Amino acid sequence: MRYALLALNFLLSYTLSAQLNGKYTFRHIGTSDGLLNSTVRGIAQDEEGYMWFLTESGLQRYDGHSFVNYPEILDVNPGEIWWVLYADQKGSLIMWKGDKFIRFDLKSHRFTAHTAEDLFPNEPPAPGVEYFEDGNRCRLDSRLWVKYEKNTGNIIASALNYNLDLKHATCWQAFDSTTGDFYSFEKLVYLQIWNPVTKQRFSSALDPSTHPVIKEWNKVKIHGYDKMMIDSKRRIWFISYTHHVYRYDLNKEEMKYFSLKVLADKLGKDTLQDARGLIHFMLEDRQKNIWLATENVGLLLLDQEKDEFLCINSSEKIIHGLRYNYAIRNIFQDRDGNLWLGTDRGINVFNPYDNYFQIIRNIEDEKKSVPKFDIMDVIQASQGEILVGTWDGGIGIYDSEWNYIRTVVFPDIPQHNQVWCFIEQDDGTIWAGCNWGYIHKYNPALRTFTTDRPPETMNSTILRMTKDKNGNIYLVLRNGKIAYWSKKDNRFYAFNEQKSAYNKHPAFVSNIFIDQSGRGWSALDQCLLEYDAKQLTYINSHCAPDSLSKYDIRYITQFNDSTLIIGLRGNGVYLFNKNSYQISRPEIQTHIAYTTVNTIKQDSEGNFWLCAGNALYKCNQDLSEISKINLGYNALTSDFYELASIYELSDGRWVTTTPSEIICFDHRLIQTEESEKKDVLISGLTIMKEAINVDSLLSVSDQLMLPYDRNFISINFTALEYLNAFDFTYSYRLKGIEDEWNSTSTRQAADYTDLKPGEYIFEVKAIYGSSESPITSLPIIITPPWWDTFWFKSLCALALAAIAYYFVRRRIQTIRKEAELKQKISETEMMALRAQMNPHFIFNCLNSIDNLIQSNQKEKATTYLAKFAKLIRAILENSKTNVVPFWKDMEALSLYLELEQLRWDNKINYSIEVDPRIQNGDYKVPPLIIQPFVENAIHHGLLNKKGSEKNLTISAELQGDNIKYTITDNGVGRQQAAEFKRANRSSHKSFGTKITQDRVDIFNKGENQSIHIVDLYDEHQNAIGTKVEVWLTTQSETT
Amino acid sequence: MTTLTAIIVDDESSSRNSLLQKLNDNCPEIHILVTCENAEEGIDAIETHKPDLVFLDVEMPRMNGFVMLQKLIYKSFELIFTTAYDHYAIQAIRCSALDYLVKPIEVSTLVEAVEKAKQKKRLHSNGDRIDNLIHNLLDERNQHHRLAIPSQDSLQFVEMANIIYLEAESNYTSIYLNPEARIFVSKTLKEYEELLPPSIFIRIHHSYIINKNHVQKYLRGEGGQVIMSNGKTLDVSRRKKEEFMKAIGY
Repeated sequence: MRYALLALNFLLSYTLSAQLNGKYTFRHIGTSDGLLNSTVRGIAQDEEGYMWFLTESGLQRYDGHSFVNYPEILDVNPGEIWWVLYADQKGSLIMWKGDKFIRFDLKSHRFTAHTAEDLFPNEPPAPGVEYFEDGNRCRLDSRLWVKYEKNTGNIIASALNYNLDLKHATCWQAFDSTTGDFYSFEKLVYLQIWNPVTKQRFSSALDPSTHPVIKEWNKVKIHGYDKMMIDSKRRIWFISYTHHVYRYDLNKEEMKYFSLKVLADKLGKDTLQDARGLIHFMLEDRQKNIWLATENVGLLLLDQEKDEFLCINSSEKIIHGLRYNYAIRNIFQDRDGNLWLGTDRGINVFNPYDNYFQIIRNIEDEKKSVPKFDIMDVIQASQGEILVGTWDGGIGIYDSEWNYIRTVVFPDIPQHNQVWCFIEQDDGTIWAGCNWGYIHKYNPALRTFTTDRPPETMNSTILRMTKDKNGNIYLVLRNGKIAYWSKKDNRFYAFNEQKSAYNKHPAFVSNIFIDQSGRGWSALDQCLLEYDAKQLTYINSHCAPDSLSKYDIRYITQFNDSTLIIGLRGNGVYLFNKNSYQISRPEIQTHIAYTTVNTIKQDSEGNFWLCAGNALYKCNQDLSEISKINLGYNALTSDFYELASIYELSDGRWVTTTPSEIICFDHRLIQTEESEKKDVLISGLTIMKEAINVDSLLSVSDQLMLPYDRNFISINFTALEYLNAFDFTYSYRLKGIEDEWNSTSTRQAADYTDLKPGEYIFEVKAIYGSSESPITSLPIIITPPWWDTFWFKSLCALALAAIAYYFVRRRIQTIRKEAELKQKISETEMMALRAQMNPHFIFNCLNSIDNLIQSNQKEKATTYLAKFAKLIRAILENSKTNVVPFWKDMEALSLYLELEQLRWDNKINYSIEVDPRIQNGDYKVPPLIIQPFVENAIHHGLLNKKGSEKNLTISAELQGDNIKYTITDNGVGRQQAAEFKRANRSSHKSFGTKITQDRVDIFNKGENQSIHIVDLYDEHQNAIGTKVEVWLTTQSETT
Repeated sequence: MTTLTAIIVDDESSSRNSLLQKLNDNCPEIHILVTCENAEEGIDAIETHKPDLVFLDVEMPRMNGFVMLQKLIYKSFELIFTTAYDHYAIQAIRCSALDYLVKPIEVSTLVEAVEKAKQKKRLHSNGDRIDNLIHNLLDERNQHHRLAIPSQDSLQFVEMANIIYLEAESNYTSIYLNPEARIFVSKTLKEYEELLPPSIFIRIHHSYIINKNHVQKYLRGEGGQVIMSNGKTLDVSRRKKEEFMKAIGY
């Protein structure tokens, strides 16, 4: 029975042939993109999402845009080529070869070399022991260690089991968690099965074996097993060094084997002579599809229904197809579901699941594919056939699953093969409108074409055709006119265009839209033309206002009963009210403002779908929301191709075309809700042109702290999008120096130079059309130099302030004292000078001299003048110094007295008595210090006195350390003098005594009471004069 | 030849003698009735002789010249003050448009003064000036000082507080009074600048002296402008701005 099954399986395997070429769109990453070596040995993804590639030239990290290289791996155990790469869940990458491995720490970016023994430290060596068990560890052969949980028997780790976490990928061991059996190869030849719980060990080397798997294994009798894998359905796959794949189903207890030789033979390859290494890798992805990486046969996918492998080959002819030279070495599925293929020609990435769109396009030299010529329109015949009209390539015919049937090319006239548009007559006949007014009619039942050229088309190219609700057909012609086919009459008519002012050529002509009331709407260039569809006449033209006048109308359809929606060339859409002729623009316009809208189609739920430029959009019914549909990676051959139209197939799928591809999709399945966008990662930092390991940096602190002299920063970032069809851009800014977002798409880096000390936040996000990712922030702190820190500056300032305060205060006190004194002295001296130079006295003296001259008293005048001159000289000289010798001063005082005496006709008697010790001694006094008292005595005391006997006595004597002056007059006394003064309302203010007081105080340094004024009275208490006493501290020149 | 009788009052004999001598030599039409060596004598002599002209020294012991004038009943004489040096006295004298001589007396000035006295004699207005002088002197707080403003044929006494501003018009001056009066005087603005008390009057422009008590508003500008109480807007020159601002208390 089992042999029969096996035989059946052999037969089944012959069907392993169906081609998947062209179904998937691949992205290639090769050496020109930065890959170090085109042979990729290992692919892994770390927890952050970066991809890691192990090539023969080093380890590389990839963020979807750029690489970071770690060629240092070559220096670890030089000469070794590491074969296997996987990311463990402890922040490391592990690279294996044989029983050695390297650990790469994802934070420190350091490599460390290990051997399998390192996984089991302190294990006593057991030389020569093939099977050894100790506690929760077991050594199955000289290289293979296994560590398991003692209670459950679950395998925790095993040497050589490099990707225990990836359960469903090929490796050298497999663990069946249902039975607890651990499968491994013994000496690369035998299968051994060991159970940690039962401790039973089976081996194909011990023939016969009681284990059912080993029994089947022994039956096959083919040696050279390489790797194994257990899939989610408990099927163990064994891959041999040959082109055979064996599968034992643990549930069904049956063995099946697949031979790739059959497939290779079908592909016409003659490279199977060396069967070794034919199959490199096997993976069951999360969608439970099983993929096989092979040499020469390409990528195989197990068709689960037919239980056979389907094949994808490398073909240069397929745009965005799979690329390799000979081998695909490994397969990895990343967290986004993308499948990564490591080949000998770089990396191929594709996503077989994130793809709602079936792309059908020409394959070079493949007659059975879509014609190479520009695809113009698509229609499905009533019996299911799909017709593809091309410009110059005739009509391609496919079945409803896009399997090629045939191409119809019309001989004789080239224009017959230039198809522009299709329409289906109510009876099922399909019309193909062509250049020069030709129409091919296709009978789907007979599958035959006939060609017509009605005169009403005026030999003008039929650009578009529309059918009204009654089955009549309207033909829009290149010449801007419209022809009409009446279903009832089965004949053509031309529209009456007499009133139409339009006869331009060439013109941009839109479709014609016939509304429910029979009004027809078409457009020439920028103007909307209104027709009476029943009467076949032109009615009116509605030209767009100036703001829209440069944009041609591309498409017209109904928005609601009263409004048309108009698609424009290069300017989105507008709404046209058929009754008021008012134009308005919907909310979505801002999103498609610069886009050409070629087609607008409303689905059964009321949503509007727009073919706008090279993208497909879906809008809600009131045109307030719009979302861009992801067509898939590299869906279009060229970004310059625009989506032309939307045709609905009988099963509800929609078809749109570009000149080079047909895109078939089920709009009802398309999810427009934006999936949650991942955070943008900071992928690199360059500080002062030196690359910094951002992972280790940010693992310590979540902010970047830099000293002031390391303030030239370049920050790299990535959204880790590997297969995103959207043109997404990054926005970033550095808060603290800019508020505006910067935008970048090509260069995923931001540079900041010469940042001043301070706190900044770098923010970055990815923008996907109308949605965006969360903001990623990186606080950056540039610390000021120590001498520029706030604390240091404050401290300095404080210390300085304190010192300065102390000195300033001290200085201020002394200065203030000095200044006060000085000012007082200078003021006093100035005033003294003025007091001495009493102008009244001077002018009166001069007047006296004048009088002497007038009265011819020549001698007297000369004497008087001489004395006056002498006094003035003395005053002027004395004014230069603060002190003068006593005798000199006394001389000046005598002169003064003489002049006063002369002035008053000798009415005043005076006498001066000076102690000879003073007169001859070395005494200094302030100049004319007592002159004001003398003047007062004369002017207020004596002159106010009637009668004679005006006596003035001046004396100077030594009294201790002081010179004592006494000025005595026998005048009216101070009281009387004051009364006279008051009566005269004298404005003449006498500063004399006040100034003198100050001068004396300064001279004496305020040490004692130095001026004393005594009013003199007789025995009857009558005033008989005044006595002034002045004491001056003696001051000799030498002090 | 008209002779004028005159009295000299001066406490200094040298002054009296020298003046007497100069008058004798240069002004034969002056007949000195008596010379007095103090104010008391002066009063007696004036009341007795009723002279045409009095030479009066301001500064004298016991009673000065101004006080002496207050005590006089007879004031219908021409008055020429003599003073050695007294700025304040001179200003007071000029305010009342009285004449004065500074000692030592210059002969030509003396002759001129005598000549003026002879002409003014006919106008009989001297008493008013003396009264004004006395008035100003008595008003110690300068509240109602009056300014004697001579015009063609009369003398007008204007309370200084009523002067809003003075405007120079070549060699003449317009004095704007409150309310709405204008006096046109054949004196330069500079003469008034010396005459008017600087505590009240400010030169704001080469053409204007204003009474700061009549400033209503100051408009800022390069120099700025002031609006006076009569509504007139006057420019303040750039050079005077600071001084002006200080004077009005900014």
